[in-house]
Amino acid sequence: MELKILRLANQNLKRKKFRSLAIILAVLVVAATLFSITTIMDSVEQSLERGTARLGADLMVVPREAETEAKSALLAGKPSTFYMDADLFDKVQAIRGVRAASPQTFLTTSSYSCCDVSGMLLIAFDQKRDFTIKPWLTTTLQRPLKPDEVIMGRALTAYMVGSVLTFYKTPFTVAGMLEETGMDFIDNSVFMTYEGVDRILARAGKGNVAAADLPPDKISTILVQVDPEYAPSRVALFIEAEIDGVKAIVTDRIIASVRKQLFVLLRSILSVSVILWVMALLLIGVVFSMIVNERRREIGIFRAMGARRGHVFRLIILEATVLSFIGGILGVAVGGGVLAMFRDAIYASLDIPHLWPSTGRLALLVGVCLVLSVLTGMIAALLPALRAAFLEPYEAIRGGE
Amino acid sequence: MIEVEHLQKIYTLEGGEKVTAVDDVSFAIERGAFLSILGHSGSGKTTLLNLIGGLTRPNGGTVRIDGQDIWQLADDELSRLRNEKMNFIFQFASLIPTLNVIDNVLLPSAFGSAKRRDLVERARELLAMMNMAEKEHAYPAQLSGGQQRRVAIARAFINDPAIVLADEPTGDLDEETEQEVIDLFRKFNRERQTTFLIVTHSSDLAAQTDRQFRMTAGRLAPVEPST
Ligand SMILES: Nc1ncnc2c1ncn2[C@@H]1O[C@H](COP(=O)(O)OP(=O)(O)O)[C@@H](O)[C@H]1O
Ligand SMILES: [Mg+2]
Repeated sequence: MELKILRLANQNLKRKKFRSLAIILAVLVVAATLFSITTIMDSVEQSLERGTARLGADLMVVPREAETEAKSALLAGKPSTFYMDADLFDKVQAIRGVRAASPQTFLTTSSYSCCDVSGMLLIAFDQKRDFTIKPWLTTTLQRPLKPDEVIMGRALTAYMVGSVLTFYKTPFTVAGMLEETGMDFIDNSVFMTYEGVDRILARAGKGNVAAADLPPDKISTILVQVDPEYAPSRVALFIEAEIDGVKAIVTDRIIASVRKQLFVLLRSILSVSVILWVMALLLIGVVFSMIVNERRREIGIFRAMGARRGHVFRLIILEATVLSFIGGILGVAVGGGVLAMFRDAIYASLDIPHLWPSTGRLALLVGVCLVLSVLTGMIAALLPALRAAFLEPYEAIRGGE
Repeated sequence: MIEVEHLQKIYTLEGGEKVTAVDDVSFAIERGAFLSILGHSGSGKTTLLNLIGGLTRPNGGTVRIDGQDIWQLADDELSRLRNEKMNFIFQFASLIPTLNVIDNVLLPSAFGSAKRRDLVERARELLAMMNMAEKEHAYPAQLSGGQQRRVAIARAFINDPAIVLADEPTGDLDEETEQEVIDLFRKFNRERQTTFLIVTHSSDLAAQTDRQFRMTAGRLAPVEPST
């Protein structure tokens, strides 16, 4: 039965090409905007979630004066270094509510010919205390990292596990890769043990090797996990109250602030797309009202030939569904195409972490956009369809004269 | 098979003025009746057919088909009745412009339980009877008024209806074709016991029916055979 009605609907759509195209186009524009915006938002969201989960820390303690620097390093991934006294670590560990803490020290490689990659962020971490790096290795390392080994972020695609990198004339073997997070801070960095840094310091600044820009007995940040019964923001307050000169950044807040930033950035686009959607809804609604008016006689004849109200209703709704489905598919294709073409430019101008969605997620986004497109058509056609269904057959037939 | 009692239809015009299009009409006919209704335009013939066909609701009176008061039926039931027991030939062009000729003939199958596939042969036969076999794939816009009318007539028999309500079915046909159409009606009437109510201006056509009625200002009266 449904097939027969679908057949009728298709024949009508095929013979009314211009009108069908207009509706397809309206849905296409909406679906394309919707798809590209949701994909961008999702890529940022995903990256934030993964990046902060990757960070694995509730708090990030940094020198007070480095707060903005630290945040932008986290989010935009510009390598930057800042230092505080290493003995702050013990103080932080002693604070109420701190369950675990792990220090990290940043070192930007010199731009002289000492290093395979210049201007790269090297991050030294404390293997015994670390809870943020090793859980995210793509292939688990069943043993401690050796002093001459490093773990690499995913963005450094030129290197694989087993390849050798040289920093300050000191060779390191890549022992593992981290999952991609979309956060440059993590993806573009190289992680090594403090013993590894000691190896570098032993060579740097000697003979013709460039000096390493790393003051002694300093650390850059302390990553903190809080006890479950304490709110991270409370522990942050404890830390800042008891230790001078440090800032405890609540990582959840960073997500929230990026979301806000993203929302502000995309709000205008979003409101444009909402307006587009409403316009498409109105346009389709008006077009279908016109269609129903114009086809009154046809509808009356359908009824005379035995069509029930439900048949007429479904016929109109099916036509809207078919058109908006086609529009949705084309829109997703166009939106996806534009995104793929201008992806780098778009993300560069947004300057926030992002992670191109996986195939599964992309499929989900496509699905959601298609469902929304089809719903748009169905909602827009609802009233005209009801009106058509409840016309008295003879009134319909006469009205079409 | 069809019993009409005190049937009345009043239209309220935009100005509030009321027009009694069908005024206290009663008659009864048996299965296989072959009758014509004559009358000036505006006398209510089309309205009467639509009341009997369940296309417009009367203001008063009853229409019984096989003992069932059709205006007591739920809308879906009435639709099914139209789909299975009745068919119409309208006064005006009534083909669906977006469907080709054969799909137009098969239109009732879109709304009923009959399979389209099973009816295609029958549709072709009916088109052949109306000399429209070659135009099977043409669209209505590519046909003349008379050709469209012949397709509409073919469609009226696709569901093997018990009742055919024909509103000036030969209006735009030449005399020769008109006679062919009457012969075809007669054939179905004899072979399938199809009941015909034919509204016509043509006294030639009316003369070939078994019973004649005349409609005057909403009232229906039998025409006494002239001597
Ligand atoms: N839907 C309608 N609304 C208002 N008046 C109508 C409607 N249908 C028919 N009429 C009026 O009812 C009368 C009978 O019309 P109709 O049944 O079409 O007559 P006929 O078929 O004999 O020409 C006419 O006066 C016509 O103007
Ligand atoms: Mg008439």
